[in-house]
Amino acid sequence: MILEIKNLTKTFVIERGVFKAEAGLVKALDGVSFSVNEFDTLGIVGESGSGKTTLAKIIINLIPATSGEVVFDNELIKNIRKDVQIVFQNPYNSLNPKMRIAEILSEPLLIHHIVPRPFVKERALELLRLVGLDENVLGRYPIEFSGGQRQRICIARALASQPKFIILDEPISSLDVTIQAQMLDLFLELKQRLRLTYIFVSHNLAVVRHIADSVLVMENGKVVETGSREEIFYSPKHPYTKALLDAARS
Amino acid sequence: MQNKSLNIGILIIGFLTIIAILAPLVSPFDPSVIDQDSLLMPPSLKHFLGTDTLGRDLFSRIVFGARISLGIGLVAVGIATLVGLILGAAAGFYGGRIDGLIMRFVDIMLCFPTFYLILAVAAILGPSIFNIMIIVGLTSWMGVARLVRGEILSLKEREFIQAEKSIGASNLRIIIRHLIPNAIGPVLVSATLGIGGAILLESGLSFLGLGVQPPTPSWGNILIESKSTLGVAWWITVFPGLAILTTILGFNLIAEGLKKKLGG
Repeated sequence: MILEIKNLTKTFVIERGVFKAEAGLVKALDGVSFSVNEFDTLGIVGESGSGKTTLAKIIINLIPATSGEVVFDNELIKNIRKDVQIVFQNPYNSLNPKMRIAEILSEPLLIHHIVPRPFVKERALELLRLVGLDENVLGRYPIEFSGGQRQRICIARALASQPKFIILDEPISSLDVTIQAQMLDLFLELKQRLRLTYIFVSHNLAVVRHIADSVLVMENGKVVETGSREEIFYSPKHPYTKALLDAARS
Repeated sequence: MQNKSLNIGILIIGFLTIIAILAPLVSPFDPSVIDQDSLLMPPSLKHFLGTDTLGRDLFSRIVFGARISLGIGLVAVGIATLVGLILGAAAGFYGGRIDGLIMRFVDIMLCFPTFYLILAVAAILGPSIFNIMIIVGLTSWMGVARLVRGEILSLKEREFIQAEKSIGASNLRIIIRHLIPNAIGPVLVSATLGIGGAILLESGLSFLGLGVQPPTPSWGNILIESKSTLGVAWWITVFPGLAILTTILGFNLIAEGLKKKLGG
C-alpha cells in the first residue's frame, strides 16, 4: 500500500457578515477511507459536488482535512511535494500566462534540484518529448497552445520532479472528445514507462473503465462502494452505482 | 493594434524627459542668474518665455524645474508603488490576521486628508526635495495596496498557483514569480496616473512655501512667485501652468493607453 486514507472528513464553514457568524456547515467529505496499492490506478467516480476534487486537494495537502488521516508509505513517498503530483481539470487555468513553457518546466527542476542548472533546459526538452511535444514549445507562452497541448505541458510539469504518485483530477473532461482518447493512451503509456501509481478522478464512467484497476464510487462526500473494475462494472451492489451505470448506458 | 493615446503620451513625456535631462544644454541662460536690466520682460526672441521679477530667464527656469518636478513625481510614485505592492501582496496572500492588520492601517491612512498630512509633516521635517519625495511617497501607497490585494486575492485561487504549491514552490517564490507579474498591469496604470498627482502635490506644496525652496526652480515655486505680478506679467503664471498641464496630460494618456493595451 502506497497510500492509506483513514476516516477523512472535511467540513466547510459558511461565514456571513463582518463578524464571521457561522451561517451553515457543508460536509464535503464524510468518513472517507480507502487505500491505493503501488502501480495501481484507482478511479474515483461520482457526480459533480460529491467531494472528489476536495479529496484530491486534501491528499496532496493543498487544503487541511477537518479530521482523519492521509498516510503515505514512508519508504516510497519521502517528500510529498516531490513524490506526489497533481494534474488539474482546467488546462487553461493551470499555467502561468506570463511565463514561457521553458520557465514553467524549469520551476520544479530547480526547486527540487533534479538536474544541475546548466542541464535544466535539456531536461525540460526531454519532459516535453515524453508527453509528445517538441522543442518548438520551449520559447512560447501558454496562450499559444490548444487545450490538449496545454494539458500535455501540465503533465510534463507534474513529471518533472520524478514523482511516484500522480493524482489526475478530471484531466480530460475539459478536452475535445477526439483528444480524450489520445490523452488516455498517454497516461497508460507514461504509467508503464515510469512505473507510476495513479488516482484518476472522473465523472465519466467509460473513461474510468478504460484506465482504472479498482474503482471507488462517491456520493455526497461518502464512499458508497469500492471494488475492482470488474466488480463495479459487472456486478454493482449499491443502488447509486447501478443508477450511475444505467445513466451512462442510456 | 494602434494605440493613439499611448503613443502620444509617450511622445509628450519622452520629449519632456529629454529636455529635463539635457537641461544645461537646452536652456539659454543660467536659471538663477539675476539680470537687473531685464526685469519682467515679456516673451521675446532673447527670452522665449519672458523673465521674472528678478530678471531670470523663465524658459531656463521651467526647463530646470522639469528636473525637479518630474524627479519628485517619479521617485514619490516609485516609493508608493513599492510600499503598496509589498503590503498589498502580503495582505492578499496571507489573509487572516495579517490582512486585517494591513487593511485597517490602510483605512487609518485614508482617513487623514492627505494634503494636510503632507503639509504638517513637511512643516515639521522641513521642506527639502528629498523630504518631499519621501512624504508624498509614504502618503499615497494605499490605493496601490488595495489594488494589489484585490488582484492577488483572485489570482491565488487560480489553478496555476495551486499547481505551484503542489510542486513545492516557496511562498516568496509564488508571490514574486507568479502573483506579482500577473497583478502588475493595473498597478502600472495607477502608478502612471499617480505621477501626475504627485507633481500636482509638489506644486501645491511649493505654492504654499513648504515645497522646493528657492532659488532651486520647480514648477510649483515658479508659480508662487508669479502670484504678486499676475496683473502685469501673465507669462510667469501661464507657462509653468502649461508645463504642469502638459505633463499630467501626457501621463494620463499613457495610463489610458496602458489600460487599453493590457486589457484592463
